[in-house]
This record gives sequence, C-alpha cells and structure tokens, in this order.
Amino acid sequence: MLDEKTPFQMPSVHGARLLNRRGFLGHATTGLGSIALASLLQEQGFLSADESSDPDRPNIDPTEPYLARRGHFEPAARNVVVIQCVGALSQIDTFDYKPELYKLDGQPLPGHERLVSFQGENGNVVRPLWEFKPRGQSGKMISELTPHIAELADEICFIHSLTSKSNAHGPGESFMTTGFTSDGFPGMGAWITYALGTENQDLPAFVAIEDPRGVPQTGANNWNSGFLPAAFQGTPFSTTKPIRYLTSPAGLGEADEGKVRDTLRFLNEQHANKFLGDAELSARVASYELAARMQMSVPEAASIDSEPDYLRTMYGADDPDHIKAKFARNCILARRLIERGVRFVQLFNGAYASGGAVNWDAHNYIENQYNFHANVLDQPVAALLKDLKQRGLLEHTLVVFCTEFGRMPMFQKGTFGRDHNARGFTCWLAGAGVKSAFSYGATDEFGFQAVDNVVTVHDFHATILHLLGLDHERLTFYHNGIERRLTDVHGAVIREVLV
Amino acid sequence: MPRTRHSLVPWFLLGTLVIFVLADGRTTLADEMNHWSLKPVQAVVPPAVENDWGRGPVDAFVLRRLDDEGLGPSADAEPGTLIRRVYLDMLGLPPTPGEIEEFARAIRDTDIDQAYDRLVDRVLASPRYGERWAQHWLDVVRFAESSGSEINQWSMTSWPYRDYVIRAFNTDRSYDQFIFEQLAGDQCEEDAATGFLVAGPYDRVVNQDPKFKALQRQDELDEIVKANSATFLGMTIECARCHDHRFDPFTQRDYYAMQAIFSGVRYKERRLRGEENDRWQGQLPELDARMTPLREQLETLRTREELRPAIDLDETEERFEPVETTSLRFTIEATHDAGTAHLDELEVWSAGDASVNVALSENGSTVTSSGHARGGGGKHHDYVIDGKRKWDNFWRADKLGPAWLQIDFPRPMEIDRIVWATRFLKAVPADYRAEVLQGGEWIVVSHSRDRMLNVYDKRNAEDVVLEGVVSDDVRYMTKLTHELGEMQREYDRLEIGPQAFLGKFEEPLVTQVLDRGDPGQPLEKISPAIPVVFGSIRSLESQEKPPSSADRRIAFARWLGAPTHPLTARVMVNRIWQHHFGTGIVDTPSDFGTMGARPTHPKLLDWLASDFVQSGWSIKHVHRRILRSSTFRQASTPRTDAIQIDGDSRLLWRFPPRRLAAEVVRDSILSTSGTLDLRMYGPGFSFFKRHAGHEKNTFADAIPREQTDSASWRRMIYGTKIRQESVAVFGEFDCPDAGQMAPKRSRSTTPLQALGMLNSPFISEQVKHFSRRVQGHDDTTRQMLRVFSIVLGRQPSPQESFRLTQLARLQGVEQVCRVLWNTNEFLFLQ
Repeated sequence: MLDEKTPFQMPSVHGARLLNRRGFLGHATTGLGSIALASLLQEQGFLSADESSDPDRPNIDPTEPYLARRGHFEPAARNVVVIQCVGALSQIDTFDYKPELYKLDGQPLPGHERLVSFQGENGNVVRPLWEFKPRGQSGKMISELTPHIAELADEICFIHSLTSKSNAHGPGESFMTTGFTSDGFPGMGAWITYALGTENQDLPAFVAIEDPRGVPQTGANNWNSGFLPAAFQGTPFSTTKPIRYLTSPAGLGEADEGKVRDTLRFLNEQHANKFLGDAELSARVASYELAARMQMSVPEAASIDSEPDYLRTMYGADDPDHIKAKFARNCILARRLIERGVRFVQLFNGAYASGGAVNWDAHNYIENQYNFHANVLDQPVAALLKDLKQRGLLEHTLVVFCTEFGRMPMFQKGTFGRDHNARGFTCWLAGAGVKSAFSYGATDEFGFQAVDNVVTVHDFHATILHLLGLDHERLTFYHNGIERRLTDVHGAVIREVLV
Repeated sequence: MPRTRHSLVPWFLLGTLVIFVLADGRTTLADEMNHWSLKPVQAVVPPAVENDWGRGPVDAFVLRRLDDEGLGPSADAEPGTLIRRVYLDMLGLPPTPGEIEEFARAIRDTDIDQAYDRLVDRVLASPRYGERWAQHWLDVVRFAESSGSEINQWSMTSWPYRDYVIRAFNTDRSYDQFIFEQLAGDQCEEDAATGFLVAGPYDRVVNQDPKFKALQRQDELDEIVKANSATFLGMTIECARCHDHRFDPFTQRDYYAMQAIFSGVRYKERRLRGEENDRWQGQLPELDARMTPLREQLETLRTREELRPAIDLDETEERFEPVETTSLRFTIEATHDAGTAHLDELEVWSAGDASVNVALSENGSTVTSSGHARGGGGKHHDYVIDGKRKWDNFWRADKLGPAWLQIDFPRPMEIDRIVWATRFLKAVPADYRAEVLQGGEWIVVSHSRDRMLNVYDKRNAEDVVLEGVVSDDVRYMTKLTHELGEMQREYDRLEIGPQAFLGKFEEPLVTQVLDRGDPGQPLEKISPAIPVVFGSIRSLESQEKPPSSADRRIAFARWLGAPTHPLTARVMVNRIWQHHFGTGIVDTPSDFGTMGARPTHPKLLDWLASDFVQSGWSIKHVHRRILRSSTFRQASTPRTDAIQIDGDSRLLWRFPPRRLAAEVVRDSILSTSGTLDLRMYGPGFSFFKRHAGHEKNTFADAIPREQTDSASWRRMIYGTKIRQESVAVFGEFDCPDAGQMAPKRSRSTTPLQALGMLNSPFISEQVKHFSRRVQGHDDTTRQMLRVFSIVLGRQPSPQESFRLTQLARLQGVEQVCRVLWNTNEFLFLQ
C-alpha cells in the first residue's frame, strides 16, 4: 500500500487506512500520493493535468480489471489499430520520394562510400525500384509498390523522420513496440489497456493478430505484459489461429457446462463466505463469468464469413494468393474487433527472421520479394482504412502504420537488396486526432538519414498516448527500483501532427 | 531511467511529511549516503511484549507493530489448514490425505506444537523443497534456456545451473558460499553455479556495424551488472550506465568499475567438470590406443605412395617453383564434407627475400569468382583478398560443386607460394589446384591430388583422385581414413568434455567510462572496483598488472559475503520472508535504494539479518524461524476490523491468503491426479514444438505443446524455460517471460486462466487419470468423497457433498475433478 517510490515512505496509520484493498495488482492499484492525491488535487484545481509530472496510476477494480477508465485528459481516439510491417519496410521504395536518387543511381552515396552497416559493406546507390506518382488532391508522391494505399494519400499523416536506437530486428522491433531494445518490457497495447481498460467486457481488451505466415521476430515480446499484471497482456488471436481453449471439452453440451459452472460457483461462494472482503477471490469468480461470456462473443466477433461479398472482395479476402486472402481476413477481423470496442489491435504484416522470404527484410532480392509482400499488404490495409472510415469508426480510431526501421538507399555489396537503416524511416498515422494529407519531418536528399524535425520512437509513442488522452510522463508503473514508462525518460508529443 | 522530478512540490497536503526535492532532480548526496539500507545492520533486541500469543522473537516484533496500530493478531489456523499451507509454501505440493492423517495422529499422540515442529523438520528435509524454492531464485535472476531477442536460440546446456540451484537449496548451502559459487564456481569445483552470470537475455545476431556491435557487448555486460546489483545488493546500479544515479549514491564511474569486474565473462559454453567429464577423459587413452594402428597404417601407405602430408583444415600453404605471372586461379573441385566452397583468405606471396602478399586488394589486385552467395552481405569474393582473417566477411560460392577464384595482379609478379585459409572448419577445399597464366595458358603450379587424405575427409572413395594411386588402394585408404575420422571426431568430443552454457572466462579487456553509455564516446579507463559508497577492495587495487577475471570475481564475491555487509543478508532474508508471506518486509525486493519501499518492520529485518549471518548464513534456519512463529501459524480468514485498517495484511494481523503460482497449480494438479513424475534433475522436458525448418534454432513460431504426454508430467521447474514464449495454460498465471528480472511476480486474474483450467487438453487428460485413480470405489458418492479429500484435504460439508454427488451422478466423477481444480480453495494458499 505504501506507494513505494514516493520519497516519503511508511505512512502513518492515517495513511494506511486510506488504502484498504489491493492484492490484485501488487503495486498497481492506488497508492498513497499517487492517484488518490492526484485526483484530490485535480478536483480542487490545485494541479492541472498538463503541469503534473507525477505518476498517475489507473484506479483498477480487481474484480473488473478491464472496465473502461478515463485517461489523463479528453482523448481524441478511443481505439487503436497498429499495422506493423515486420522486417523493416524500405522508405526508399514506398513513401519517401527522393529525386536525387535517380541521378545518383549506380554511384556511391556521397560522404558514405563503402559504409559498413548491419550486414556489412554497402555498394552503390540504387534508385527506387517502383515508380513514384503524385496522389490525391495533395499530390503526395507515393510509389507504385502500394497503389491502393497510395490512393488514400489524403487520409494519411506521414512521418518521414523517424529514427531508431537499434539497427537489428530483435532490439528494433522491441523498441518500436515496447520503447526498450531489450526483452521483457510491456508493449504499447499492454500500457494502453492497463491505463484505459476496454469498452467491451466480453472480448479481450488487447488483441495481437499474427501474420498468417507466422509470429513476428520477437514473438510474444510484442504483446507480453512484461512487468505489468498478466491481465494486460495481448491475446494472440487471428483468423488462422483462434483463441485457445474457447470450446468446452468434447462431449459436454451447454447444459452440462451450465451445471459445472453452477457447482463451481456454489463452491466458491461457500468459500468466499469465510473470506469476506478479499478482492482477489471475488476477482477469480468474476473471471469465470467473463470466460463464459468470451466463449460466446469471441466466435461471433471472429465470424468473417458473415461479411457481405462486396466487402470481402474489397479486402481481397478470397484472393487466389492464399497469404493475401488470409491477411485480408485478419484485416476484416481487426475492423470487427474495433467495431465491438476492443481497445487495442496490433495487426502484424510479416513474420519472423527469414532473409526476407516471409517479411520485409529484403537483403538479397528486394524486387521480387517486395512485389510479393506488397501484394499481400496493400489492398487489405487500404480496405481496412476505407472500411473504418465508411463506418465512421475512424472518427474515434487511430490507425498506426509502422515498422522497426528503414533501409539503405544503396544496395549491399554483392546483393540485390538493401541493408538495415535506423537513421531515418517512415511511419504513418491516420484517423482520430491526426492531420490528414500531411507530411512531417524529412530525411536528407538521399532518404538516408533524418535531418528535419527528427523524431524518435519515444516521440512517436508519446504522440500515440497523447491521442488516447494519456500523458506519457504520468503513465507509469514501478518495477525493480524504477518508475517505468513506455517512453523511458524521453519523448515529446509531436504537436504538429495533431488536429 | 528513473523518472525525474522537476518541480518543488510541497507535499503538505498529505499531512504527514514534508520533503523537498532539489530542482535538478537529486536529493543531496549526504541524504543518499544516509539511507537506511546502507547503514550497518543494527544489533536489535526483540521487544518485550506482554502477550502469550507469540512463540519467539519474530512474533515479538510483529506483535509490537500491530499493537502500535491498534491491531491484534489472529488465532492459530486449524491443523488441516496449517499442514496444507506449509506444504504448498515449502514444497509447492499439497499434502496427501495420508500425510494429513499422520499429522492429526501426531497431534493426538503428542501436542500440536511438537507435531508441527516435526512437520517443519520433515518438509525442510524433503527434496521437493529445493524444487520449489529454486524457482524463486531463478525468477530473481531471470534464468531461461534460450537467448531471447530476435534469434531466441535454445540453449540446450543451460539446465545444469537450474540443477545446481535446486541442490544448493536442498543441501542448505550457506548463502555466502552460494554467492561465491555463482560468481566464481570455476574456482571451487562448482562449475554449474556460474550459469548465474549468463542467465540473462542476449542478442545473438551478428551485427557488422562497429557501433552497434560494441553496443551489443555493452548490453551483455549490462545484464551481468544489473543481475549482480539487483540480486545481491538490492540496488539499481545499472541506472548509472548513462549518467550518475539520480537517486542512489552511485556514479557513472561506479557502474563501469563494476562492469570491469565482469569484463572477462563471455556468453559461451564451458567445460562442466565433474563425474561425467572425468569419465570422458578416462576414455581418451584407450581410444587413442585404438587409433594408433590405423594412424600408423595410413602413414605407411602415405610413404609407400609418396604422398605429401594432408592439408590443414584451418590454413594450408602450397609452395612451388618461382614463376612470373599476372593471374592466379584457385579451383576447388570438392570440399572435404561436400559443403559449399568458401574461403576466408587467399594469399599469394612474391618470391625472394622481401616476400609480400601480392594478392591484397590494397596493392591493386582484383578478384573474380565462379559466383558468390547472396545470403546477406559479407559473402563476396572481394573478401578473400582484403587481408582480414577470421573476420565475419568471407567468400562463399553461390552453389554446391566446383568453384573457382581468380586473382589478377596489377602487373606481372614473381610468386612462389599461396596460403589459403578457411573461416569455418566446414566445407574445406579438399580437391583443388592452383594455376597461373603463362603465355595465354593456365599452368598448374600446385594441387591437392598428391596429398594424403585429411583425417576428417568425408568424401566417398569414388570421388577421391590421388595421383599415381590405383583405385583399390584409394578405396582402402579412404575406408581407413573414414574409420579413423569417426574415432577422431569422438576423440575430439570427449577431449573437449561436456560443455554447458555457464559463461566462458577470458582475459578482461580494458574498461572505459562511456559518455552517455555510448561505446562511440569512451572516456577515462577504469579499474575494477565496488561502488565508492561501500569503500574499496584492497586486493583489486595497487596491483602491477590488472587482476585476472577470476581475481575480480573472487574479490567481489568475498566482499558480498562479508558478515558486516549492510545489504547482503537484509536483501536475502527479505526475499525469504516475501515468499512465506506474499510480500517482503521491504516490498521492493530488488530495490533497497531511496526509490524503494521502506521496511514495514525495520527492526525485525535487522534482527533476521543478524540471526541469518550468525546461523552461518543458513537459509533453512531462517525458514525454521519463520515457520515456527505464531505469525506464520495464524488463521488467514479476514477480520472486519483489521481488513479496514490494513487490507493488504502487510502488518500480518493474519496470514495473507493469495493465489498459488503457476508451478504450484500445475504440480498440484499432477500430484492429485496421481500422474506426477518425481524424477529429479537433468535435461528438461519441452513445452513447445516447432515448425518444420525451425526445429534446431530459434523459437520463432514455437507452438505450445498441450502437455498431454507423460514426458511432460514432471515438476514444472524441469520444463525447459524459453524466453518470451508463454507456456500453454500455466503461462497465463503470471509466469515471468525471463526478459527482465522478476523478484516479485505480478498476480493477476484473467479469463484466459479460467478457459485453460476448464477446457485445455491438459486438464481433460488429467481428469481422466484422476477419475481412474478413484475407480476402485464403485459407489459414486465414495468416489466423489475420495476426490474431494485428495484435492482439498478435508471432508465436504453436507451441502457440498450433496451438490457434488449430484454432479458426479449426472456427469461422472470426472466433472467433480474438473470443478474442484477450479475452486478458489484449491488455487489459493490460505
């Protein structure tokens, strides 16, 4: 109860009396000097949200940990879909148009001849392999690699000046999802559901949709809860990989299961009578009720086949390319989940390390590999964005399109592909709270490194949290001596991209 | 890393204490040094209390504290509750109905206190104890058997450390020795103990970018510093990697001085000495004796056939008559193991006294090849003339089969030898020739067909051509070589000995302070030392040459194990306390710094710490103190008055009930169903299967196994621990993912736990075994009663009995098993 990290410790009995129920979350629930104090101060107008840098723990009811909670201020977005391109998508060949590269084609990169990067030495500059064209009313230059997404240029807010702390996939991917390059930190989805709960109590609050080709490079580290309570970990769940143990064991009908549940409830009630006031016990009883509801509601949410034909066609859900069809179905699932109030959906495009065969890591033959991967990505993602918009869901949903880092304007020595580049890459946002038809930040004339309005992954995270009504400096959790944040001790909201 | 404080905030609103934090975010150093945990452990006398509730010093402290808050303790728990509590807490398994009955009988025969003390002795002597309590330690040091990060490779030889920890707990290894062994077990024949040093995650990806490569090594060392700091000191020294610690008295120099203690530690395998190693070494002379006649026979044949000695797999020199040429071609017809040809370096040396390598690209030579692999950078043929050996960049041919390299010199050169070197001891050129260009024709200057077969050569006889040797003889020589080769490989394996992932100790490199933690910005050099706030270690100072890796680790371990150390004993007794009561006296078990929690019972903590040291650092002694206390023996049921004042039971007015850990839940299910396999030690069972193509290496796309096979019905601690990956069903119960240290597990309640416990194939399978176990009784009611007493260790109430009999009659006793495993009573320690 004692709020471990405030400088005054071991409060008086008076302090202890304020805090009479915890158990469920270990450190997480209200602590002295945290939310109780903060909300007291706020009510009395002593402290405005923006000025405070003090931790502000969510007030979580252990029996209903997923109840929707208010953030630090009024949010622009209620839900998030993150589309994560695994393996490092080339900015050079997609969204970051650099005419200079056509002139330099076949020559060394000025000032960086024989540069040694992740896999070794680099060769000469190779111009974008797909043609760039002006798009939409804004005339934004986007390549032919993703023609469907390109059509939606006017909906998108591009950030061209992202930088990463690592040029290796594992640390880079962890950094993009958790804010740290090492394993074991909670991902964005865990932080956000820890802070805000969710609107639909019958579905998981945070769903991680794996690519049909497999899990991302750092696997479950993307959706694990790290040191946050396990309640806030993502539930991996896709159209090809259903939630485990959702159906009762064979041979048991609904009536039989009803009796089993009734008996269990009876025994737990008998037991609880001896432990009146122990929240952890009632939380467990409640979790069985929620599990029973999930058994009904998850299959319904996942029934892609109930979607009309025109919509399936729009997404490409019946495409002869099986991978594309499956990814398209995952995109439909993402929309259905958002529609039903799921707080955070993390949708992966691309799988584990493979030399570019099943993700965007094209070291060797970028042209063939990207044509294949872009075909899987493009139409379904564009359809998701359009579908969200048509249904009005984009008004309260933030779409984040990201990748762990970018690629070099050169080909690697001796290959037909591009090496890793953490110095500058492109991600984009769309939907609630962000400007559309807008581009922020820039790389140099070669698309090689960010030079203008340089953005860190921490800034990117701070901005996403801000859009959800959360102050990234106040969303904290104490772990092993450190008041942890998604943004470590860095990050600033990119105000320019906000509406 | 810790949050910074910007503003002067008057905390008067709390009405308790006023603290000002300096504007730069640091309290003054004097305050930090004055911090309670850095002061010596106090000699404390237990308070005198007038109450017959207590049974010893522990209770006196607890009672005094309760008294201060106007609270009273609870009465003793029922014997049935107590034996269950002791078993689950100490052994991680519930008592059997027989053991419960035995306890009841002992109470009748003697009295409760005597019977209970004997029970305590019995659990402390049980080998199940080490299997339960080792897990707590493994959590703290985030032990796992895969590397984590992108590659997350399975380390098949990490388990000896897990076994070491279990043994150490079971044999009550004194804690100072336990520390010493984990830091310097290589110095005291406890090799497996140093698994501690490399228990953390690390990135196996090869990064060629020098900046990121250096950072990778820094991250490896950081894990070691962090583990030592958190585990033994309960401090967060790692916060000083980039800047002086914001809250505790550690400077950036302290961080790098501590890093220097471990700078020789590498994340590699090492020989695991012991019985198996001795056995292997013992086999060598005999094997060598069996090889000798073969060797001699082959040597005789070699001399008879006038063959030159075999090539060296690592590097081979070929000399020839001086010849002037502009180009040299090296053709590889076959490699020794049929792998794709590769070379690290191909040197061509000029004739005469001042011989130089004329092949070097820096001297103007160029190279072409039959083709190079495109599997990422670094396989280009340019790398065979870059003058860099054993570098990550080497040439590999684009396909299997014959391949060639051609070096063109800028002008005619007189040459008389070549040296070729491989990067790996695989795919070594075995059938090759070197040719030079003369008058438009290629002239062979040297080749391998007049050389004896290398002992490791695996080529089939029909693929081997030896100049002047008839095919029958070639066949015979190949056969002998294969026989000898097989023995040689076995000899090599035995000679290296059993290898385990316990860290390898190399000469420490120079350690430098890094500006902002950036390896690209090194500052002053620094010697190994403990943080200045703790003083210094003389043996690490004023030496003429830098201390060895072992010297550094030994000195550090001895310092930690000093009886006067302010932190070592406090931190450990607090961990023990935490696992008995759910929360430590200090609620932040790996942070005793100023950002950590204050002890709820500071005097008790110091008393326990002194008592621990005086007992000879005996962990079992501390257990006994705690288990025998009235505090531990209290009922866990809530009292309205007390729960309103202290809902978390931090002050211990009752025994705090809590949900069992994943391991205890799983082990208890197996134990009650009668399927638990109690085999101890050795390689673990696997919780995962992997997709085709990924069997060997990474855990990318690992598929959780449903654990329906009896091989996985050992205790959970023997399941191979894979970082990042969550185990089916039980992973949901807050199993740490071993990325970060987990001195304290979160304890959450999720619907996925319920789904797994009700519907998983594991549960269905166990239900089957359990119901079979009670089928001896034909009567459904008796079957139900038997199940009930095995699971919950008591008799059901009449209503419970009625409801469960009904369920058993309608749906079979299987459903009774399933329901009971899901009850709060089964899943909670109370």
